[in-house]
Amino acid sequence: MIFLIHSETTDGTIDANLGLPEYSYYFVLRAFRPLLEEMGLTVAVADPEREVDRLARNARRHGETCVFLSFSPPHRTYVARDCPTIPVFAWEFDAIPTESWDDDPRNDWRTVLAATGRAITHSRFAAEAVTRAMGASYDVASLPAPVWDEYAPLHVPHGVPELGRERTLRVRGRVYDSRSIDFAPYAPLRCPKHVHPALPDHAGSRETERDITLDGVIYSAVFCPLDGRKNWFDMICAFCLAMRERADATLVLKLTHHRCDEVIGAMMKDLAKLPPFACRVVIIDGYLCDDSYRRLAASSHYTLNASHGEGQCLPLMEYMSAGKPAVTPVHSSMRDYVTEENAFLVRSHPEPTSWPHDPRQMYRTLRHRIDFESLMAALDESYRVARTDPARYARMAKAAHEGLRRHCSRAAVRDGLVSLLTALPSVGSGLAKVRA
Amino acid sequence: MSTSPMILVHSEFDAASVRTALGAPQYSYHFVLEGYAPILGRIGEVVHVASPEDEVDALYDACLAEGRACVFLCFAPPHLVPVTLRCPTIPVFAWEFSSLPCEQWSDDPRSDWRVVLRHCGRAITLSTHTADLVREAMGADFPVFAIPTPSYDAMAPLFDQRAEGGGFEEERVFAFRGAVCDSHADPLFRGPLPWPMTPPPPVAAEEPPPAADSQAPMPDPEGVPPPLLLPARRGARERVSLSLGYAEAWYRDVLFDMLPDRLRVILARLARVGRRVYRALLPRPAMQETAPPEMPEAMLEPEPEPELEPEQVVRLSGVVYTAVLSPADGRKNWLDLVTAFLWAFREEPRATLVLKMPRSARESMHSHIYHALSRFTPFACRVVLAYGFLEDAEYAALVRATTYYVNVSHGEGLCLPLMAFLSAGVPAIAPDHTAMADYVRRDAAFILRSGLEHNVWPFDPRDLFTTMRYRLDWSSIEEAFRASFRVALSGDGAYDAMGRAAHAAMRRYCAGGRVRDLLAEALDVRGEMPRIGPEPAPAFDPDCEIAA
Repeated sequence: MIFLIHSETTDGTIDANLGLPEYSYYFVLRAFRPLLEEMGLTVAVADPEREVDRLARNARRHGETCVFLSFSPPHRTYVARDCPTIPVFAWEFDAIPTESWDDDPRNDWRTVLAATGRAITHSRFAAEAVTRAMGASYDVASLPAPVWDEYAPLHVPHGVPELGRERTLRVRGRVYDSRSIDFAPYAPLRCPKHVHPALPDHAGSRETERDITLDGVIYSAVFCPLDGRKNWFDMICAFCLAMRERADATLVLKLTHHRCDEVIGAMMKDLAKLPPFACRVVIIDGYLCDDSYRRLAASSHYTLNASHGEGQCLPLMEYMSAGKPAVTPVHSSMRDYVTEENAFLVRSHPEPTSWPHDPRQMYRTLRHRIDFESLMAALDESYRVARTDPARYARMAKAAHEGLRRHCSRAAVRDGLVSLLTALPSVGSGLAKVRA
Repeated sequence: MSTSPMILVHSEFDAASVRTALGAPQYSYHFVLEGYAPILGRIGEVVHVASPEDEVDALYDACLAEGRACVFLCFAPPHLVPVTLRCPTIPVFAWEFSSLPCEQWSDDPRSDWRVVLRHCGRAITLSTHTADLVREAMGADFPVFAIPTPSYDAMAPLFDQRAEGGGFEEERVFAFRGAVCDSHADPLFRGPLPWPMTPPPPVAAEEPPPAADSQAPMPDPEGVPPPLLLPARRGARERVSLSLGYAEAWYRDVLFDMLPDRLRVILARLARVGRRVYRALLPRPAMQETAPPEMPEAMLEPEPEPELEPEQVVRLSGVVYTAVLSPADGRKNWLDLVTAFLWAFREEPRATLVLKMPRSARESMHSHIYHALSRFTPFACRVVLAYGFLEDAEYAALVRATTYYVNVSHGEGLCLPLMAFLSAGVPAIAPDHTAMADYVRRDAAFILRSGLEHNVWPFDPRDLFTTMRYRLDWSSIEEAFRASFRVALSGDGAYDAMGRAAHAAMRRYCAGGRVRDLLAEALDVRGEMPRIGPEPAPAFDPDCEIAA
């Protein structure tokens, strides 16, 4: 069994592509790869149009079966002639693109999905959207990225991260700490709308290493701020308003893009517009090595999400696998793994939007509008629980850890992948080896 | 008459000056004053005062000499109410945010409204919401009176006329002078959007648009800027505004604490004059500074020059949804209104949305609204964008043609158009927050869901997140459109019952008789004046009663 795998973003280009529409496919592929390597020979393909058919024909001559897994949205998926093709894509809206534009029929995803005959998405929400467009008999699997196994060891049964203890993280990059920032120069009177302010100079450079110390009740959010769906604006404002008088509440924003100056400037301006707050906001614009990244997850009490839609949300899944309850809405992919037992739920409601890659910006689908009041309430309640209700915290942590095991452990995802592949006539026999 | 009290009244604009000041921050207080004036005339002698500082105390002294009561009603937000007068002063104001301005940010202590309210010792607000905020800031026993404008009486006759009208199939006509963009007449909305497309033909010449929602500093909802018609260069106003902003910041940060107090006072006065000159020379493209209640259209606009505006005749049928609003006012939230309507009725030719907007919106906002419509094409329902002024009779025709009035705003100081339509027996789709909590009722409206979000006090130059307004649940708007459409066409009498409930509730809420009694109580002249109106004050919902 040979898996030909492809994503447009690779190890070599991830730095340049971070924040672009398809950047997250790289991380999804990276998460799937160990599982695929368990199940068969895995070959990364850089140029599918040139390589996939040739490799598949070659493999067949040697008695091997190939499947081409294209970690790309359907309109950017090459449909191979001589190899079963399965697009693996994330989707966070209620309707998939069913119109074409720019004279490209692939922009109507039905064209591509009909040609491949099957697809993998990462949530039941997205799978339902595919089914609505393609019919109930269409073969679509909902398989999240298998991230649980890597983060599960961080879960500490019955434990609440101690509130009084300081935790140190090593960061390579810039760190903006609200406790060291004079926000006055960023206030609207001194920094009008169209002005991009100079950033605080205490943050250092992207190349220097430093230690940061965190304590108190720690909320973490890992996201690309250039991705508008992440809605950091509501996140920051709700946090600082809800935690206004709580000096021991800390929000850590780990940004996953290396060209964030402009957006950090916008964050400074929003923080400057807020009433004075005692809580702490730490913005990390830099690289955390795996160890530091895991240490941040281990140190955190909660993971925070306020987005308009998620194809699956890897950081949320990672943190919850590590036994960190979430403060999050329950829309799109979060419906598969966020419950009242493992998260403080934020209300949200549908609102119209366009398909993200539709240059016409037609209102054709729905995303979610966050109920700001309930975001503040969920933050408030979660803080209270961390401070005063360790039993409930431990129950929620366990529910997160266990719930995500069922959702995205390697074993759970493997079962789903096997049953999808088994249905492929040319693959069924190849899989017998995998099962053996 | 010498025993009747003298009631001095003032708003920043009078009937003449308001014609050129439409969209200026305080313009609509003029219309509130116009609404109150006839009722006040039943309580005492109403004297309009143009310049309170120069006139009020002289009149007050004359009254005192005659042993006659005298009170000054200042129709303005408290920070513009004079606090140097001897005459008892009562501010009359509207406010739709979650907190009163209670910080001082300039040399004028009145920016903290509590200073003014403490000085006046009494206040009239246009809604219970605002009255509650006053009590929250000033103490539970502060005398504040929530009194709506008497909108009911003028609109009530339309109730019977509507009842006599035909069914929804029957064509209704409303005509006015202005401009109309009708989606049914525009081929763009009939087929798929041509792509790539050239910018749509605007109804009028473009101008740099104002921030569609200056009070809602949301990031662009799609993460992608709209491709059409963004100003390439900063306009003169923006350049001057930026320069002044920097100058003011420099003054505050560098000079302020070095200067002697007297010089600072003089500079502050100069700055006020400067701001007035600046506003006169470079008027704001749209109102966004403060929170006056929206006026019914008949009162909203200055008399146009009719010869310049072509007559428009709009023929309507089916279920007609109407909103009267200034789209440049971010609080009105026109985008949610338009998108929810088009989402609900994409394939329903019997649904029509009429947006009645001021003439000025044609220049500043049409391209934005048209762009939003084009993002839905093709659609079967109908959207009529009407820019212009409606005479009373034309306004009445629009009311008769309307099936539902729609409001999706983030906050209302009062919302006179909604009150006017409800008074005429037109059911509504509206949230029941802020002032609308006083009169939007479940039996007369489809109530929208909403929750608080952070916001700024609109006239606070610091532009800080000091207060909150309401964020609408968009899906509840879309649901309300669908549900109201079913009710209108069901034929089971439910629609007529809603209209009757609306009409009856507004009579209890804002009929002249009730407003007169409330004003008499607020002015503390109950018992001194013989009752003039024959009607007793009808009871109203207990939660709308004024606290004693």
